[in-house]
Amino acid sequence: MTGAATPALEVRSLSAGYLRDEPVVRDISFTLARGSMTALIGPNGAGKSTLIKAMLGLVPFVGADRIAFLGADLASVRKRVAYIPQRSQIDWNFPASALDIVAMGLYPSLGLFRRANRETREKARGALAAVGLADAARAQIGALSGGQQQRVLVARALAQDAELFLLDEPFANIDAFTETHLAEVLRGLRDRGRTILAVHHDLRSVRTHFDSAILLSHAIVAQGAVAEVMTDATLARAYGFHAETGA
Amino acid sequence: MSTAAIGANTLGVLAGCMLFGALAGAVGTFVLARRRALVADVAGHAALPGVALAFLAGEALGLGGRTAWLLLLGGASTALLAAWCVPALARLRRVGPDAATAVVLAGFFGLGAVLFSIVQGHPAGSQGGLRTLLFGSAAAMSRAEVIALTVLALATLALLAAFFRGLTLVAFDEGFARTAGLPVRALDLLLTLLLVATVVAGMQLAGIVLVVAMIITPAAAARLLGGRIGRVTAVAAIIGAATAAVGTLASRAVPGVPTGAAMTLAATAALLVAVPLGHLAKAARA
Repeated sequence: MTGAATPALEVRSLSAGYLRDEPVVRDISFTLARGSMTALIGPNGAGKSTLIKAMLGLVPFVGADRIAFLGADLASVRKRVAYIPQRSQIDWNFPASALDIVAMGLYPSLGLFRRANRETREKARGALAAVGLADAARAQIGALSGGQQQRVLVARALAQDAELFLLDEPFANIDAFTETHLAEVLRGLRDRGRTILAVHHDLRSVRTHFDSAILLSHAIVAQGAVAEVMTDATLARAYGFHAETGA
Repeated sequence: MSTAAIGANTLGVLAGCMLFGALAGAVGTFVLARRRALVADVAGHAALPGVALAFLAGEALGLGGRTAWLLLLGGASTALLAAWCVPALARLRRVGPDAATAVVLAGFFGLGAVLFSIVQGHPAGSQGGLRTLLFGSAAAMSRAEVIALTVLALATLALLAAFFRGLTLVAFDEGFARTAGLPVRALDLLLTLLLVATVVAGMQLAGIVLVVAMIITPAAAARLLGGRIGRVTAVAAIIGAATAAVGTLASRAVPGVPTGAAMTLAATAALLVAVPLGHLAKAARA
């Protein structure tokens, strides 16, 4: 087993893109300690989503010296790594209830053919309750608000019992109440030793939601504690102008 | 032939039609969910050259041109080849997916039309008729062909049931499915195989031009009515079976109306009814 000293995520010299010889992100190296909560920030088109997808092998061209999840290859720890894609990448007209989607988080441990039993179904219900959606279990996913849909996706990762959560823009297009609630859920996970990496767009709320940050503009511009990363100098380098940080 | 024998044969054909309708509705639900409706259209049209080649091969081998399993195999081969050609051609960025779909559909269909003109010059081929294969004919199906359809449909339904969960997961969220370690490419290939099997199972009944309607329309109607994936699949199968039966009976009652055309109209009518019903159901839940 991997001890607490093993980083939750270690990436060394990763370059990746959708076309051969045209990397979107270049020479990325960083380490996430267990129990940390990190924002992946940067301008539009900086490669934030691409970086997350590349680590997970969802981008056609990926090269790296090392990508270690919980000290191991992704293939051997899939159950313990949860990927939460952008809400806009999912077909919300798909015929399913909120509970159906959360139960999908159980498939990595069930495999293709083993059926969900009472215990696993209870787990899915518990995960839905943990994000405050116990009453919406039977609702069609298309009838949910944007914030509720985002919470359903987080509940799916909770049901999976993951240790490392990779979220792509979890706070995009949701109302302020849901944002606060979702941030609380994620902080609760961190307090229980889970590790969180989230693509984040709103520079003003990085400080309130996250401990540390990685500032990306195709390559890493700065990484570390939020205050160190979000200086006028680094933001100007990444965004090419004086960004509004609310500081 | 006695009237009782005709009745039994008609019932057999009707049962085969309904089984095909149910299969098309169920498979169509997943084809729609994975956004592969146009692949169904391509696969239907592209079965034509394969069927013509299988006819000629059957004659050459002395098996007879209308050897049921050979026709299914031939149709499936070119349909699969076409389904593979579309993404391969679409990868050329100056072509793109919509143009690739149109080019492959028309190309295979054109080849099929040419090959079929050779088949119809053949003494054993002239009775079959291209029109029958284009728009479908329940009456023209032989007993062997109904049996082949039944076996193929049952096998395809069994495969769909076995992989129901994996196909659902890939259709809803491909990225999650990949990170969860599901064999996404294999499941996509399986869906293509199920689709092609459905196309060739129904090509003589619904016709290669119109078989797409029986795969997509009942599934679209069922989705409008709402519910979870299991219910949508079941409702699509029921609508498919019912509209297939209505189409088959209607084409028998009105001489000269192709079975596929009558089925398509019945399925379209079901869709038109589902639109207001879907709205009502939604309003009732809200």
